[in-house]
Amino acid sequence: MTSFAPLGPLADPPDGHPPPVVLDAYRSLGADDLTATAVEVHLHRCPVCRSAVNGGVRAERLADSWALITAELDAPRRSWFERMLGRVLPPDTVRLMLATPSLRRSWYVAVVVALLFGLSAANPRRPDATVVWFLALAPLIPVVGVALAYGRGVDPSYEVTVAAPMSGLRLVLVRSVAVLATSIAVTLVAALGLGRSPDGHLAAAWLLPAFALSALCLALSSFVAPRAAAWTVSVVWLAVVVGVSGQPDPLVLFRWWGQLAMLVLGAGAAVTVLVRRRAFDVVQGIR
Amino acid sequence: MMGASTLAVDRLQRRYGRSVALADVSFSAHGGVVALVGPNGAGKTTLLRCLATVLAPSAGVVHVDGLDVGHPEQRTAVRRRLGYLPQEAGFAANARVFDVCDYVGIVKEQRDVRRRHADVLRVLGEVGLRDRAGDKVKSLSGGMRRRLGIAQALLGRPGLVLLDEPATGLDPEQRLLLRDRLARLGEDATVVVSTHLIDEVAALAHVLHVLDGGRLVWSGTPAALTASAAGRVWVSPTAPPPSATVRMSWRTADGRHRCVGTPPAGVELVAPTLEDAYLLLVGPTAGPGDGWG
Repeated sequence: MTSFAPLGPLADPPDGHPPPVVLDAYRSLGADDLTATAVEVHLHRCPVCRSAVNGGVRAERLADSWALITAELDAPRRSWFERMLGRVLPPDTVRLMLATPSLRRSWYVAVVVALLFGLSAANPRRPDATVVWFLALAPLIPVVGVALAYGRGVDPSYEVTVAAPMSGLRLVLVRSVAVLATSIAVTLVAALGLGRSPDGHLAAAWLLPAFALSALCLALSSFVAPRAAAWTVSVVWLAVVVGVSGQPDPLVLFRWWGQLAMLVLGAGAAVTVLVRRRAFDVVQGIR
Repeated sequence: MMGASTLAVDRLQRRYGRSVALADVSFSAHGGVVALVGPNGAGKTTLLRCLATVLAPSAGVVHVDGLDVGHPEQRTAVRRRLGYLPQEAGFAANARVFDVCDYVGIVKEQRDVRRRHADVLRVLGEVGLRDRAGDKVKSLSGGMRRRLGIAQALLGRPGLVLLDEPATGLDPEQRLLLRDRLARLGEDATVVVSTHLIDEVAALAHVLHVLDGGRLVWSGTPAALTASAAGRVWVSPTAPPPSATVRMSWRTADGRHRCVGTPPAGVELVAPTLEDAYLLLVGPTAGPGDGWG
């Protein structure tokens, strides 16, 4: 490959023309993209060099350049939301995130309905019950979101994605972060409704369990299908919450030692995900 | 262009619990169009999934250009040479056609955005969807969605293209265009196509592998398979009585019955077709009246 470096890709050399070796490289398709672009910028305003390469450029170079130009013109513009996210995140990562099946309007409707159900089902005479119901339900929302973000039966492009060289774990993590961030935002709004209860300060106590259970769901997904993993995690979690609710302090799971246990659980699950990362590179749920 | 990949399958097995989906399947290919045919449940989709590296074999090995798909690092290298259309490929209904292919380009590690976009428009052009690039998937017909699936498989000019029932949902004109496209593709890549449409195979494939019950029961050219049925196809003015020598028979448009199997003496033998030969291989042993009822 030949390039103009160290002159800079778009700067002309001191004599005003690219060296013959660069023009030859351009003609023979041997120049890299940056150099070829620099040559083309120069050719646009230099009839001398244009006539020097005229007729000597291979048809493939012209077709290639034309394809790149038409692609710029014909590619549909990204949506405003995608462009906005693309200002803070790499645009390709944003595109991967927005392909997450559970990031759909229907998902957020379901989240809101589930939270309203949890809050309304609580006994208004016992504010404690409201908090318990909320804290039991809220961590499961990202778990379900993570389970519905990737895998057979939920992602219509799943097999195509698995057969691609990108690491399955990377895609799972990108999507999980997208689901976690958005579902936590929705749930935080619902948590504001707990502000009046005596245990209102516990409104954020579900966050660590949410991370831990989501990580546990991902770890289990390396052994079984994601939906089976979500079911297992949800049933076990609800059983534990119900079991503890008969204790003198029904919120004991969400006090400091419960949070510590969740931290340990989440860390263990995260290590398991890393150790089992290859499991995300083949179709899950088929044994 | 990567150039055609070399595919080598050696004693491949795949079990689902106690059920055997593939048993000791071996074949190789380099360039051209290879067809996998067989009845429903023969193991075609399982075989393609194993070749596409999405399903781990229970035993045996698959090599693509000498790379072992069972080895994690080599599997990634194989995936860089691969284009895959699954049997049930679907795309988010609200996604735009261009965005679907762009997404696949990203997971295929096409990092240069300008070149990726040019490639997306190229493959959409190859399946006649370039003017629908900005439309949502939900606005496409079933045949167009299948063509979109084929388009994404062609991204990056892969050396090995695996297509599971690509003609499903395509009308006759689109099928002809698909045949033409696959024939041209087979000049630069190894194309493995699973299909149940025998006429597609006859028109398209250089090599044919017939699967039945998870086993490879025949391999060779379509012409050779057709020739293997010579002297075993006849027509009869009346329905033949059920017999162990009649493999299958069916009423044709002229009111006569076409039979495949071991012909009795004195019957009118006819030139076999590829479909006749295929039915002789995998068709059920059944008399008239059996089948769908």
